[in-house]
Amino acid sequence: MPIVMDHRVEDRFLAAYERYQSMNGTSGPLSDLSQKAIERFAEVGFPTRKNESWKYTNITPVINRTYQIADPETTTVDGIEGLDAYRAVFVNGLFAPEHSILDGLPSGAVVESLHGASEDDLIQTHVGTYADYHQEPFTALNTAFLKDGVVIRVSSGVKLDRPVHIIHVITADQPILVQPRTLIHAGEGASIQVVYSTELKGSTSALINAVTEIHVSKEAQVEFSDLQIGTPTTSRVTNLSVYQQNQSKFQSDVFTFGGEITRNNLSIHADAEHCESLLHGLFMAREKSHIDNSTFVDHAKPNCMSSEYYKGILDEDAVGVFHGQVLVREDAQLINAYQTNRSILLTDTARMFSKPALEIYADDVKCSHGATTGQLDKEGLFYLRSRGIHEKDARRLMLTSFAGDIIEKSPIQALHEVIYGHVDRMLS
Amino acid sequence: MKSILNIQGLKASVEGMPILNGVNLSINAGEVHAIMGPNGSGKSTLASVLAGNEDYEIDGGTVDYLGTDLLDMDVDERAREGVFLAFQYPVELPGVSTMNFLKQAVNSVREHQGLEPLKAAALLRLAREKAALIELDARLKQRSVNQGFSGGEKKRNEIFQLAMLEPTLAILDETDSGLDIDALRSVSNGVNQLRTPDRGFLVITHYQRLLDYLVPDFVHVMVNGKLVRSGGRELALELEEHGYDWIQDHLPE
Repeated sequence: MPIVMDHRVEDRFLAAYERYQSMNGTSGPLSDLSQKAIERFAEVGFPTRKNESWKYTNITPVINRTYQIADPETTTVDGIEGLDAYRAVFVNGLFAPEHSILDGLPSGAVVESLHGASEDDLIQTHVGTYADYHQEPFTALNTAFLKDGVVIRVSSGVKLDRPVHIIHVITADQPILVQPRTLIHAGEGASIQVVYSTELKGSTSALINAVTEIHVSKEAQVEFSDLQIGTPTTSRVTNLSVYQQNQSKFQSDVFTFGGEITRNNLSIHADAEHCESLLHGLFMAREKSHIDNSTFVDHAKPNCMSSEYYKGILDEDAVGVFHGQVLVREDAQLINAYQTNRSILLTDTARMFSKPALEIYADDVKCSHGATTGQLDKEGLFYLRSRGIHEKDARRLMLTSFAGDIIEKSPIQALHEVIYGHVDRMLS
Repeated sequence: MKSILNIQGLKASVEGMPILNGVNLSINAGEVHAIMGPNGSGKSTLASVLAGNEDYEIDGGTVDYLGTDLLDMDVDERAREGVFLAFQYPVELPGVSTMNFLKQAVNSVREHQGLEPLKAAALLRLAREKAALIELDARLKQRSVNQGFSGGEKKRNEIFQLAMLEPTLAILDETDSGLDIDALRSVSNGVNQLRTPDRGFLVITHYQRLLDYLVPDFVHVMVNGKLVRSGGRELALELEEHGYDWIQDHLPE
């Protein structure tokens, strides 16, 4: 007699958790955290569109599918052409030293697997500290299944000469759930650039639930570039949580192309004075692709600056969401917080939801937000065509320029050409 | 003499409102024609219609350009065939680099003419030459197209593009508006250097002062969407003296 499963979808994940943990799952100092996280997940469950912050993004169809958690297979790694970087490769979420290139890291810089990391103290102090599993069910799920991940530690005063490229290779012939985990700790005055990308091998569907925590110590600088090239059967939820100390500088450059459903949560906790936080994003989608960027900047202390600039190009039936939340706490005087979101809809059926949410409790602050969504500028198009440029080239020129504004904010030159290439492919 | 443009009975409207009410005009190679007229007479509409602006509805008439039906071509096709409009209000294109724009424009036209595309170095050289010709500040080429340009810089940039694209028919739509006298003189000098025996100009202006520098072969006066008087250079001076009311009062019935 068949067993009818009419449990809620969360129960399937809870059952999978039990099996996972009985088979060599989370170990060592993180077991306790994992246990707490699954308990929290069991309480809150997956978000639905009834949650205010998921109003425009319906993740339920993606969650309802069945996924496997699979061990890595033998695979290849493409990397990013022209990018000269240290390389940490993970296959299906597990560290793959044979594909990683970590020779030549300066002393004081360590890139290693979370599993068996050299400093338990660092792990225990920081993992799960910034990515709040109480608030965010996907973070809870990721934390519950914690097994491996990457730890990047840059000691005080060490400035990396090249970026560190984290590559997640996903390879499977069955629908797969992968939950990458990253911890970046930049010590006082340290400086590091990180490029984060995903490579999908095979045509199966995938759900990626990534959590990245970044600690930016006093006077440190961290730049984080996230390049995601989706497929129509890949969905991705990311939670990037950044904690900033005195006079630190953080910049993110998030490039998202396609994918079934993408939800990028980015949260900045500026917990000291004179922090600078720059959040840039470019998203491009067509067909029925859905890309949601939700940012949260928490200004807890005075004299800080944050600037958000997101741009999107949506074609066919694609949907974009930008939800920009800024909190300026009562004591956080003299804050400058800016937010801009511009989107171009190329069809009548593409949609964009742009929702700024500024909560300001201090009285001496400068905060602004602006959102525009529109069609490609007709006058501009006419002007270009009036100079002999074919219509499709004129459209491409205008859209490439529109995107270029964000692309060129990335300090990593090698990424520019690669991303322009992806923009071009999306436009053709 | 070789005919470039022959307009017969051209009628056009925007949102159901007639603006051109039967324009007849013929331009031969080497000629400079000026169209003057009061505000709202339809001068700029004629320029837009010739360039291929689809906001206007063609209600009648024909436009022959070098033996083909101009009205049957799209705006970019017309440009590749050698029709150039210097805009009254050039459009700012934030993010679109001037050199990239010029490269695409010049090479679209060259490709159409069966010529090899210009490589970056050759294009830069050409741009430098042409910028010097019309005294365009070379630094403007480093910027986005027209972005943050002053009124005068924008107009000069139009003439610079004209010089780069070397059209057969150049239409200047109120290129003088918003220019001070020095800018007017230097822009006119630039245009004068682009006058060649095989190129025709249609210069649209409200004021005759442009024509002091850019001396036309023919002057036409447009009132209510029709060319009501045509003459030589002296017609512009007459208009200057008497004003447009004088023309309107002396229309032949």
